[in-house]
Amino acid sequence: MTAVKAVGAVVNFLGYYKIPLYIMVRPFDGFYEMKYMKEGTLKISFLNLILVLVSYAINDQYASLIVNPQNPLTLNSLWYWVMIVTALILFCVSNWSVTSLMDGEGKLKEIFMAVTYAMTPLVLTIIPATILSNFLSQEEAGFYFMIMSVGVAYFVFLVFCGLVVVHNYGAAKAVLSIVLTFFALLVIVFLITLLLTLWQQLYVFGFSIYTELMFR
Amino acid sequence: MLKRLVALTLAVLIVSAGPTVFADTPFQGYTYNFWGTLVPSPAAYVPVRSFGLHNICAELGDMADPTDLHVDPEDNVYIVDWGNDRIVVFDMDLNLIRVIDGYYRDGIWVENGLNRPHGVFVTDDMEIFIADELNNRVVILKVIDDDVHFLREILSPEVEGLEDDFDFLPMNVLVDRGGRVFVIVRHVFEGIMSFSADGEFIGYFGTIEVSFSWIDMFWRMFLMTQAQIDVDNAIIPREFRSMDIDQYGFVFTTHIENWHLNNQVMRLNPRGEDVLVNFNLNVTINGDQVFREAGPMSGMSVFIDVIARSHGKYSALCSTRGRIYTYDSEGNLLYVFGGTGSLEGMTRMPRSIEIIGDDILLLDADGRGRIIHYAPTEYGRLVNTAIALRYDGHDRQAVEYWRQLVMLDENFALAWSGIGRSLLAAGYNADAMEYLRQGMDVRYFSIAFRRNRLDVMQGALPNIFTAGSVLVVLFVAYKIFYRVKFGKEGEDDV
Repeated sequence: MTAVKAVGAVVNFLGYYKIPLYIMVRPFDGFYEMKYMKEGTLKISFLNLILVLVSYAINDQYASLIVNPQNPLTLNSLWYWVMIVTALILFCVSNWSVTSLMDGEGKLKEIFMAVTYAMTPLVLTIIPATILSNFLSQEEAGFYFMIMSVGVAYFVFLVFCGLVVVHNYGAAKAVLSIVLTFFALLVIVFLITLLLTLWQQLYVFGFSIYTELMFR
Repeated sequence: MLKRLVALTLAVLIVSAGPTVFADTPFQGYTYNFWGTLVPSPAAYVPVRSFGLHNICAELGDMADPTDLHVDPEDNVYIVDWGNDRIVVFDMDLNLIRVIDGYYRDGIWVENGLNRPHGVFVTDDMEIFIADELNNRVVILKVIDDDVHFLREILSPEVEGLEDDFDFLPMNVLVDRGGRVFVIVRHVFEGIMSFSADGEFIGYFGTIEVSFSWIDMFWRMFLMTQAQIDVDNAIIPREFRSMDIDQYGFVFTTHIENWHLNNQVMRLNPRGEDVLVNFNLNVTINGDQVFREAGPMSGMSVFIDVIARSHGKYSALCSTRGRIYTYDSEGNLLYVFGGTGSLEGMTRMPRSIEIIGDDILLLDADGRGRIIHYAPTEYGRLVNTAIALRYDGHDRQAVEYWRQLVMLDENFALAWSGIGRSLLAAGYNADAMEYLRQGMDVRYFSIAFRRNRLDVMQGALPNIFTAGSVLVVLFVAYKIFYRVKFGKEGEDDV
């Protein structure tokens, strides 16, 4: 009985996944439903994110030699993951901090959801492209890169649509907000670097006092 | 039992501690793989002897800041002894042949005819071209009846564009088969000066393009004051350092390079265009790809001399670490040997290299001055042979050597790809793929892959089509059977 229940829960959970798919076909309607009809959930967000991370790891490992001349000694999916997640968090936070000053209606959670829901094209292209790459020679590798770049381009387009809907912006204002987001991103990175440097200085100062005291 | 065990252990120990014969080198051989990462390899060349002028003849004394080494067509070695204003000629058995420090000009002996000679070149007709630096000329001498005679000289050219106080300071000289004379002149940035056989200035040869970045431009245009621009490095082409001519008449040159991703070696065709080939995406013709930024022996490699070798190979000498880098005609780094240090066979102030047969001579200006003689090891000989066969297109004969090389050094990517290419030529596509993957030979891997894909498809497609047509026939048969048995009711129902 519990097994049936578990299967039922999984099916129910995956039922929510129809919104990301719907977003791919009708971006504005889809994001509208995600936000205002309360159809979006963070679970699906994280599912999508994890799917993207796993696809990139698989791509790194299994894409053919021709398109992916990776050094097996330096291959590190974890590092890739850290980079993607850091970029995502930075983008969401800086977008949130910019748009809250620009009459944006989106909450941090909604921005995060919009970006992760927009990742469906990546989920749908990376693994097929990786499989395809193992059947392509160097002359045909263009198809692989085309599929990959279509996925990324569509992802960027969907992120744009998502931000428009979530913040209830017009196109021009959305573009402006994204440009400002990148500036905010730079500021955040700068502040983090500054903080780390200062912290390091403080640590060295404390440590030298400690050593002085120890040797005295 | 225990006794036996002990005896056995001792026996094993004694056998394994037996006289292992190996050539010990003062340096570690290495090369760079596809990704530009350093991988160790056996030493390709080992120093076999080192000697100074005092080993040739005690009366010669020591060298004083020698600058150039040259081997003439008769395998005699010329040392340009810059500080002593002379050129010493000897053969490889260390017999002194002559010392050139003066010459007969119109029957009159000119004592101390050379003033700080910097470079030497000997043509096939045994004419000796000397870049006579402080005499501001290139002097051409010839040995007739064991006496050195003056033939002619090339003086500072009368060219527009040269400054009035231009000082003609030749550093290096080279003559091509057509008799054209190439001279590297100190502080001339336009290129190598080229002269016709009778000393007429023709023009500049092999100009290095000026490279600048947009960031530099931005700074110079908007942010820097005139005073700052004046003290900043001028954006001018780099100076040439050294040159050598290969068997096809192409000129190899090295130049000072300040960006570690640019090639430091050029191969100039007779029109002066760089035609150096490098198929590697991640490794440039620039010596070390990985180096320390600060501390002893740090910084990028600085190539101060280059020699053309047989079968498209060339070797370049690095002054930072005293190493000699050898590349093949496709820009693959074959082997690195030599180094700075005080051990036998190491250098302090490397100046010039020369090739004699397959051996390499290195001129070290440190202290009394000496020449180090490097000879190929078994490994080096195998590499040279295999590269020669590959260059001449005898891929199948080369395989035997590649296989031996893989046994000696499994990091040697060229060997793997060499075996892979020959397997590919022989039609073993699937095996070729494995070897080419090992050698990271993406171009040929793709070819092998495409052929293998065709093989697989040709094997599988007939079966697939057979199965498909059987299915279609069965389906049609079923349909006919259905109709015959039940008439057309089935369709009417729909």
